[in-house]
Amino acid sequence: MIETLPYDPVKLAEAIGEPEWLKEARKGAMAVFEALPWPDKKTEEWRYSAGRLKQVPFDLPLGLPKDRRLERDALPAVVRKRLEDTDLAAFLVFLGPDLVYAEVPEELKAKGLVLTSLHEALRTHPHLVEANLYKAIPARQKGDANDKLPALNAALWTHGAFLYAPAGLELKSPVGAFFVAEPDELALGRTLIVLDDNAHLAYVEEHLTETDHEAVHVGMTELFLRPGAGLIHANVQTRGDQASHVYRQRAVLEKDAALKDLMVNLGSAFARAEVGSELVGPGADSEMLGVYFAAKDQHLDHYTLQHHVAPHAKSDVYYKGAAKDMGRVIYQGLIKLEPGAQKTDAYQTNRNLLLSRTARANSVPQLEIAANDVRCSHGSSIAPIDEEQLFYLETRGISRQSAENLLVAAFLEDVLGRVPLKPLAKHLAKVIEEKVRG
Amino acid sequence: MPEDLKHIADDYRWGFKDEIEPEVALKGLTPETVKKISEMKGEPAWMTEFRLKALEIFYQLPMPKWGPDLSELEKKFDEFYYYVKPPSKGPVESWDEVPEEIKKTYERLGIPEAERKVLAGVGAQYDSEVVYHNIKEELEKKGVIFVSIEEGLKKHEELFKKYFAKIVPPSDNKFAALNSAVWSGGSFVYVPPGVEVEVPLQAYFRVNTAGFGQFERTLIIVDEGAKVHYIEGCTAPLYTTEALHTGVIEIYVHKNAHSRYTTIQNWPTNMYNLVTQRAIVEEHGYHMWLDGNLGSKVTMKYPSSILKGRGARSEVLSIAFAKTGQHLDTGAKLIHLAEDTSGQIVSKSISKGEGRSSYRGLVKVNPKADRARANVECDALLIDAESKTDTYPYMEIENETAQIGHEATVSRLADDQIFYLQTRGLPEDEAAALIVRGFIEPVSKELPLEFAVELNRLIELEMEGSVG
Repeated sequence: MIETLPYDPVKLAEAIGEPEWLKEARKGAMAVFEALPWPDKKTEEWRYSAGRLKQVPFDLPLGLPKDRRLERDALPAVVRKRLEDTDLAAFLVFLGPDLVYAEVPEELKAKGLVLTSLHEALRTHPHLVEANLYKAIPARQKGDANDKLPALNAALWTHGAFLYAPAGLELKSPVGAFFVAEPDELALGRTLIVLDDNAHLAYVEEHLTETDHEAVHVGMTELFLRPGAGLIHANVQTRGDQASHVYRQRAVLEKDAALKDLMVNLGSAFARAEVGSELVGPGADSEMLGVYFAAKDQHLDHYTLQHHVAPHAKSDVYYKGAAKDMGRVIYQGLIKLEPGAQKTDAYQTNRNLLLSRTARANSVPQLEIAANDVRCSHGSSIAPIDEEQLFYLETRGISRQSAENLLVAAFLEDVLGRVPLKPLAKHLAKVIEEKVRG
Repeated sequence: MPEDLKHIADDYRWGFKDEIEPEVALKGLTPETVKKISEMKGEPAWMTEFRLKALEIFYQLPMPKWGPDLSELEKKFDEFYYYVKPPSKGPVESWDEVPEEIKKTYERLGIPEAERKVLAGVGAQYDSEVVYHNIKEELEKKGVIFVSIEEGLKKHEELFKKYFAKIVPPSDNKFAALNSAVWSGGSFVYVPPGVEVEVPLQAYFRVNTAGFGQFERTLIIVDEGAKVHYIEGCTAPLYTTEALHTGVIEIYVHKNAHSRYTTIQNWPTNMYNLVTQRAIVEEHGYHMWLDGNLGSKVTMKYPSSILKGRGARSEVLSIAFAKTGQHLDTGAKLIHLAEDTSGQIVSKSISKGEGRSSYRGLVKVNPKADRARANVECDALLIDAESKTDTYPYMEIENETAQIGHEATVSRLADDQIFYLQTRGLPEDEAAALIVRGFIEPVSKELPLEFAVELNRLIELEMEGSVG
């Protein structure tokens, strides 16, 4: 691994034409990156993935913006295919670091919706960006090795999506963004979403690959839900077999805000997703769902954080995964209740299926509770497919292999049923079923 | 609570010390101290070597970076006494030979009467030396060895050497290394093939010198088809200087053997209690760890069972009760190495005042352990708004046929339950004590009667004036 990158955050900021405050923030983040050690086995959140991280080619060149634009019918095939069965009311398409296509109806813009690239937003909504960027994910969050890659992103991010919903805006259909990896590049993307008071919408972000090449992505997503806001958020990673993907997401939920989050990790040789919610206002509600499935020699790692700061808030994690071939799946999660977080309801469930002799699963659901008038529980399991269920399907004339495939798909798709994003769930069910059969 | 009962319980709660001056006390952690301990015990050269090597390992190993705060302890290693020899000349054969002062101590703990009648033998450890041993004749006739660890080394060197430090090597962790360097006191138990020891073997010990660390070492070998229950309990007087207890317990459970190790600790709340307990369980063997942690400032203790033979089984039942100023970081480990192995962990913790109790556990299933099963249940009860609890269960599964589950809940002492019991005529604190007792009942029902009684008494005391 590399200790320092041959990139200068100040030069990068100047080349892009960024404001002074951002240039300074990048400079500070670079210093944090350089000072922090890489995660190792002793880094709790990287306990099972620090070794695998060493194989990630961080020395790939950083993809720099080239201001490319494409027509809709010239978009990468993988995106065009997705557009065939999606109900997105507005969307962005990124190819590497370039926002190559955007489709945001005037009608939505008129209602005050902003969906654009982060750099465009720096010009059109500078105060909104400055007030929120790095606030949920600063370069130095906990100050240990787990911040190494977030600090790298904070210093050198080149692209990302910006979504803003003004107070009271309610959208019926979801909006979204597609991020297509450029081969043999390091990509540093960042998404910022701000929902003002009582705004309600759904946002789907998909990370795709057009050609199967090495590609490294370190992505950060910051979500701000002001009082009463409601966000349905999905992050779907279906990259190719040689990709690497490291992702951190933090949501800040104010009074009575509600987040329904879906994390899907199906692609990449190595992927690690860290999804956290900070419940800072009473009445906040964070439901965090996850689906993952490792085949071949995929290594998929997940970490969830339910951080209860305010009283009377609620959170629920439900992550399900499977591993076959040499696949390896990891789930770690923490429910953390601060002393003031009385009357909290917090739950955490992780279920894993192991489907081959060489598959591996780790599960570490954790609780740190410093308030007493609370309801908290967690459950976790790692098991093979239920023999009784298999037997039942066989008695119905279904072959053992088909029965297995059915049960695995049903096990994983169970999570998708909890997300009101029908076309996306249908698409993901298809991807899962193909993978189960493959 | 009746006055007389309260008096007894208060003694138990606060501890008391008697006035025995130790004859020899070695302070400071140096090769000279280690050599001196070995010399005074008249040990063979290989043991002196082993101790010195362990000391080297101790110097090299880092302090644990996780879990409770040990920064105060780290500065104090040289301030502890590493060996204290009591005035008694050594292990004695009969109760009559036990020094009066020591008898008095045990009497105040309420120990002797019941034991002599009910229990097979009392290996009562006073400070570092076992001062009293009484093994019933029939046990000796059956070939059961139940002696101090020192005597085990002297009289059964071959057997001792075959197992000693094979289950917990000094390199296992910093405190196992420390114990290996300065160990003193503890039991050596051997149960021959097919022999069932019907009544529990018990060893009581107390820590009795300020600033004195106790480093007991116990080695238990349960041969094929044999059965034994070993009980260790400790209560200790309170002192103001911080103390250290670092034990190493090794248990080898052979094929078809059945063993059980029960320990209740109620160390004073200035004590660092850092213990390594590990059992290896062979084919169709069974081992139970029953672990109660009530006292100490900091406890780090994770009884482990390595399920090495096909069909080996293990259960770990644990209770922790953390009050203000205490951080009890306890748990269990199950390592499944063979087919059809199974394990169960039940952990019940109570946090009161600003007390903090943590469960930290590991279930590991190796690729060869087909059809391994393990189930973990952790329940935490929080009494006060400032009470804290943590759960850190690690599950590392490398076999597709394994069935592993973990469930944990956190709840508080519920007002409505207390109110209900009050309407049935119970005073508030008795109602609270009843609820707490009910909460730990799944574990406490496995305790020997006298332990269960003591524990219940303690909970009543602790819950007095704790609600409302």
